[in-house]
Amino acid sequence: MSKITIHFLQPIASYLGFHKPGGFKLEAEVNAPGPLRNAIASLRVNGLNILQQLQSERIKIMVTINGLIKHAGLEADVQDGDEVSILPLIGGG
Amino acid sequence: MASEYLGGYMGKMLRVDLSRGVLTEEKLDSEKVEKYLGGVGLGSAVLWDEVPGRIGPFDPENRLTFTSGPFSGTAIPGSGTYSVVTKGPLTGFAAGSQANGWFGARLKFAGYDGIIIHGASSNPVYLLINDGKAELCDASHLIGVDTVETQRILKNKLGLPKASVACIGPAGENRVRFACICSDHGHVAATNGVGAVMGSKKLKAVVVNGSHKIPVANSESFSATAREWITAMRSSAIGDTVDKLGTAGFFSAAAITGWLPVKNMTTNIFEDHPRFNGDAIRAGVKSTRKPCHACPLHHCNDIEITEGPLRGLTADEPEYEGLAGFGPLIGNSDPWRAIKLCDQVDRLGMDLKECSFTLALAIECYERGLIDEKDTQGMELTWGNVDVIEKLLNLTAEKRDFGANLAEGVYRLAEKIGPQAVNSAVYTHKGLAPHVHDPRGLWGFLFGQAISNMGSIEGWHTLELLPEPDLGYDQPIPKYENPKALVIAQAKLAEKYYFVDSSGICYFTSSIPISLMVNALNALTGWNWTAADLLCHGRRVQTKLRLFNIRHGWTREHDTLSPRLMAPSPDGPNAGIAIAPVYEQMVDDHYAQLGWDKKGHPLPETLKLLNIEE
Repeated sequence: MSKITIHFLQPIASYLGFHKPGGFKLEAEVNAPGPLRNAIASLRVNGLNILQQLQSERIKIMVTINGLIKHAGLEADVQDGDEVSILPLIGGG
Repeated sequence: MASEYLGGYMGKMLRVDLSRGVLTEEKLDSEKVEKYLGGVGLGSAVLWDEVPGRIGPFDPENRLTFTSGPFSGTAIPGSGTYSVVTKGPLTGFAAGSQANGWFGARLKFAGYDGIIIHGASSNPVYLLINDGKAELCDASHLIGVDTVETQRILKNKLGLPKASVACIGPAGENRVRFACICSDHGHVAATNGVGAVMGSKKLKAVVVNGSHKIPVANSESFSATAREWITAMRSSAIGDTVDKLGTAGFFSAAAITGWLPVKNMTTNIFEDHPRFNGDAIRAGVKSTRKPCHACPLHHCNDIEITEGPLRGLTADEPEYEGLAGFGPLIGNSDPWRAIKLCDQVDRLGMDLKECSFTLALAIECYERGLIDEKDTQGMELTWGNVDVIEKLLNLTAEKRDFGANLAEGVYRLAEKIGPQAVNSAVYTHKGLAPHVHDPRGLWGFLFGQAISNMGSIEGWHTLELLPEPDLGYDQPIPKYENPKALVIAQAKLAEKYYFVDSSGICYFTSSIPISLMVNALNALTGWNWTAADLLCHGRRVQTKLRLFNIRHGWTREHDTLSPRLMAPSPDGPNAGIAIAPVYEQMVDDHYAQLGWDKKGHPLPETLKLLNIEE
């Protein structure tokens, strides 16, 4: 098994029950290479299934792997040691 | 389209001749309204009709228009927006800038759809419009007063606590080329020196107040559509983050994806970004909600800092661009000091985009030895030296010492320092700074600013990050792979967002289906617009502005970028990526997409199609 790190930034983290600034990080084991979806399919935080929450219509996310935007989102392939960020969609400023 | 408007408009404009001190009411031109709607569209039509090519930005005969849109002051969320349109002193071409808040709504409550200002007063004045009565009043006592105090003083003096005041600060009075107009405390019409034009006319402020009702053609249908609008807006990607964290909620995402400008774009890496993100900022302040007209989002707030050395400081909650501009762009990693700088710039009445990019260039030039302490009157202009920046902001607003050079903006400062500075400066070739991002890895966004007619951006957001299903983009466009697709997408975005900027609504509440916008417009006005009419309107405004710019000396060479924006990012996620090799082809494709020739001039058949008379 391989390991990846996933960083859930705010406000995405708040949908998973983490309200502190900075969101939260977790490590996940994956059969790499493989889609991010598989890596998080069985993960739960605060009693919530992460995958189900992220697929909710109210949550709009952007996925980066090692800083690169992945429009494939949860279907993007991850490798051992990857650093994944789950971000809000950028909408200007 | 109907031949006369039924709802959404007050039906009259106020014309102010400051040279003669004469105010006249004019019936709103229904033909112009149907073609240009309001906001930046209506302002651009006035500019075209009344400002010939020989008129310079500070010529008394330059026009300065304040225009609302049909949605302004209605139940549509975020409909306090107004547009300021003039010939801008940074580019010498059209300037169009929007400010949110309440002013646009209260202009209509005061009885007018817009104000056309020309001439110049011999002494400082402010314009008061109170429930249909307009007068010019002495403003001598307000000279040198900052924008926040000016608003407070005028509302107190007039006994109009619910009035909106749009005013300039010391920078506008001194014609700093990037002076802005502030209203409703921290809402700013910022781009391309609109405040300097106001200052050149010796007009310190415009006060609007009133209780006129805005006519609605079909009240029941309009109310239902406004409710649908709110639901759609709240569930949009933009609305959700802005509601929860403000636009600073995009800060870390911008840093991680390489969109954050750091040290005048000499690097793309800023590890302190979590301290600047909206969640960290909101955790360190006490907020009081201060929404714009009819807006349910928790976006605009008054804040009081509750931690650190600046505890107790009160200010407007900063937007992403302010934090980026006075944070990483100038090498400052203290978010609270960035907030203080944002407040200082707003009070002095300067556009933070141009201001921060100009300072960033000056700092880089100092660090590299292109200028030294003799140039800066002994000030050590190093990265993150906020004490010096605070002093320089005041000197810039006063146009004193080294501040007089900064007051000219990034492009002119670079030219004054020399060729190495020109190569380091971040600007579009029209002579002004871009939005406070590092767009070198987001070509649609970069290109939208390069070819903009107004100096800002046409089609605000980038389709490389956000889908736009209404325009046929269910998924974002992959970066770098297909520049032509980006060009076509940018043209479509411009059509939509020229409508937004002409209708009197905020960008952050407009992330909704076009069909819903059309339904709302028709219910409000009694018209029978289609989505195609909406998009055609946007193209018409864009083309009209291009014609104005051509009249004022624009050539294809102005549709370009500074060397640094053309160069690759040195590091970060977009390292090595540069738009330069594909840029000229993108311009060709853009012109072809819009029905313009290779020089960027609209073709006769395009003008005919858009019903534009030269």
